[in-house]
Amino acid sequence: MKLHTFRRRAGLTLVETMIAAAVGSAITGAMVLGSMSFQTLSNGANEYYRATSDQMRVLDSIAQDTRRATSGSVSNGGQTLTLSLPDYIDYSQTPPTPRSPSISSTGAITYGSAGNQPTVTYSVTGNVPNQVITRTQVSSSGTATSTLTWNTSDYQFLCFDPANPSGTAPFSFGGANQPSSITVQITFQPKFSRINLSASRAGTRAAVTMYLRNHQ
Amino acid sequence: MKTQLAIPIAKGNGGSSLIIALLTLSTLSLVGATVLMNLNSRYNYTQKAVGWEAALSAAEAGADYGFANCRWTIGTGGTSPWNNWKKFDSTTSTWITVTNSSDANNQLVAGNKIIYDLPSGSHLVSGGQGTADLWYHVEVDSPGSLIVSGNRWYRIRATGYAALTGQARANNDSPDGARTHNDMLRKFDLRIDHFIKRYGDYAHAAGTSVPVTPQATRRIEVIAQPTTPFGKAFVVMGTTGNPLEAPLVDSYDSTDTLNYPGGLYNSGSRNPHTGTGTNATVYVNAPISSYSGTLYGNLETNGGSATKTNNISGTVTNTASINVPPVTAPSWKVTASSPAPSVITAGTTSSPSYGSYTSINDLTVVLPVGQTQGVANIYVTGNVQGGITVSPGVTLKIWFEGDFSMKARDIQNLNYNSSNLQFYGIDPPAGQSRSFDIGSGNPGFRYFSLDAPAYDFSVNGNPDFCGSFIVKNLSGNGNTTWHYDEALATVGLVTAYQRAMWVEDER
Repeated sequence: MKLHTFRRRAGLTLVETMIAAAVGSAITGAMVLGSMSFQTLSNGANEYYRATSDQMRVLDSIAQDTRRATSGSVSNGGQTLTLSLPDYIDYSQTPPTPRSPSISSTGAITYGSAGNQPTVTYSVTGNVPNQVITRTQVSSSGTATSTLTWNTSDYQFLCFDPANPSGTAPFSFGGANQPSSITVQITFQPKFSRINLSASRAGTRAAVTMYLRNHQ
Repeated sequence: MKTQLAIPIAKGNGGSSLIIALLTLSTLSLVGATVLMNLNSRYNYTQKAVGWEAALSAAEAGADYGFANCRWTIGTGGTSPWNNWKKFDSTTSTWITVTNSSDANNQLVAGNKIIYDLPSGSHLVSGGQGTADLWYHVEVDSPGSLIVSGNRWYRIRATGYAALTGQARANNDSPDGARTHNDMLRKFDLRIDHFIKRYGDYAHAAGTSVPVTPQATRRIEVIAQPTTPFGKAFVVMGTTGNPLEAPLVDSYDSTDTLNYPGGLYNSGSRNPHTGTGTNATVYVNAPISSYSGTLYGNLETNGGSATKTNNISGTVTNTASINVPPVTAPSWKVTASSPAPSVITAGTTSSPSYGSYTSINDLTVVLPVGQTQGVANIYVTGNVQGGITVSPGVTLKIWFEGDFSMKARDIQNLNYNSSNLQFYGIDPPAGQSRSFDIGSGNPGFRYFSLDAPAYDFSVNGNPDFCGSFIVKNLSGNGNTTWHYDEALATVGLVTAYQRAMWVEDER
């Protein structure tokens, strides 16, 4: 029996190994870089999705409150929107129940106590880029703050009179001779923008225009 | 014997490749599965959020239907209200269809609610994202607290439903970690109807878990307010020239006995800083360019060019346009054959009196025996003149087709409240005119309200008129003053319904 050995191919093996190591390193590096890029992309897409979901949730919440509001005010500088709501639900009851309205001789309708109607304030809080949008309700049953955004981001919040879309000055609405509707616009700065252009914020703009059902 | 043994190195390399390939595929599959799972979660969330928004549209559609029925109760549109609505039958403890409009109305008068469910064949089909099926349930009632100045207001509660597609779960809707249904913005009924669980409904007690297929449910409440004619101090319907001469117009509130003891007008309580006594709105249908009188309130013109000057305490709006319904003869009228007697006894508030006459020449209306309040309704085909005396406790409404003429002092409303004496000047045939003339003679304060959009109102002397006035043109001398009673905003004939309040039950 004659055994074939491969000793004579040892030199080639070293070269092969080195080449293989180089190729393997390149492939591994590419995979690592690819994975990192993929993860970055995935995180970016996920963050972007969450931020857009947050926009939608905030706008839905604002729309729900604005429709039923009796009046409100806007401070774009302060990034706040304040609404006065009818005190419809009596939270002192167990379980809380809707109130019956009282009507004055002049036709004014009030739920609960006229001097103690709830207010809701929407505001952007925190430092860039870790901001959240909160809703704070002050009512006879106390003060409650909830965070409406799952994500933290660099949010900008703009409310304006649809008849004056370029106006950014504070204004009130819902009262006599005041605007009967408002537009609320929310943007955020995408975190994983490859080049941090300001234009990338413009692409995130979401807005909703609400008519106050209880406008005087 | 020479034997050769080949070691299959290449074969071993092939095995490694297979393992690496499998590992790579597994990794890619895992990544793909994670991405798909995330996408599914996100898509499910977005779909349900859109469905939740659509449920509000269904609720608003239900409220609109309830509102339309409220308007149909006026009877001018020819459509019978409450068709196929249901009432609660206490003998069988079930909800049964009302027999007719009167049956439904009797339920409302008794303080009960009536309900309507959109038939399954009439569901609001949505072709968009989020839901493909929308429907509503409406409840209407009008408890005693919603009777204001004798007019019925309605409370409409409408629940909108949107069928949700996909899994019975909702993702990513609790950003601050809320785990209870109450704390979430969008409340989905994935397994049970949460409104029934909280409040019960027409068929279930509170706390009942009624299983449902996934749906979004939103509930709104709308208060329907009757539209009455006396919401402004003046409505002047003449379309040309300067149809209003009114030296001073202000307001008071006869229900505000703190500022107006006894419900009587006084000028001392008027305060532009607090708004007391400065809520007299004047509407001029003509495109006037200026307003010369003193007005404690707002001026509205239809296409005018008036500007706010020192004699107007409120605002000036030149783009106003209001619809003033024509005044027509009452539905209860009968053929008149004789003038009204000098004394008429009013009916009770629950059973008012009605009379049709050819004319009035001095009339006194007194309370029914044993009553402290009474209501009389009079229809006149001809002229009204002489004088009118309304006894305390009596509310008198007069519809007239002819001219009205008497001295201010002869309008004796002994209630000193303009809601107790209401005049309705019926629109004459096209091409004809009518007049409402008030002569001079120690007039003092006169309390009445007037809805006569086709009448020319002229006044002499210096009376103080307290009430609300709808006329075609108004002319008077320089010392006539007009005081709008803010409490008249809810008084008078119902001509339409309007939304007075809209709230959503966010629970």
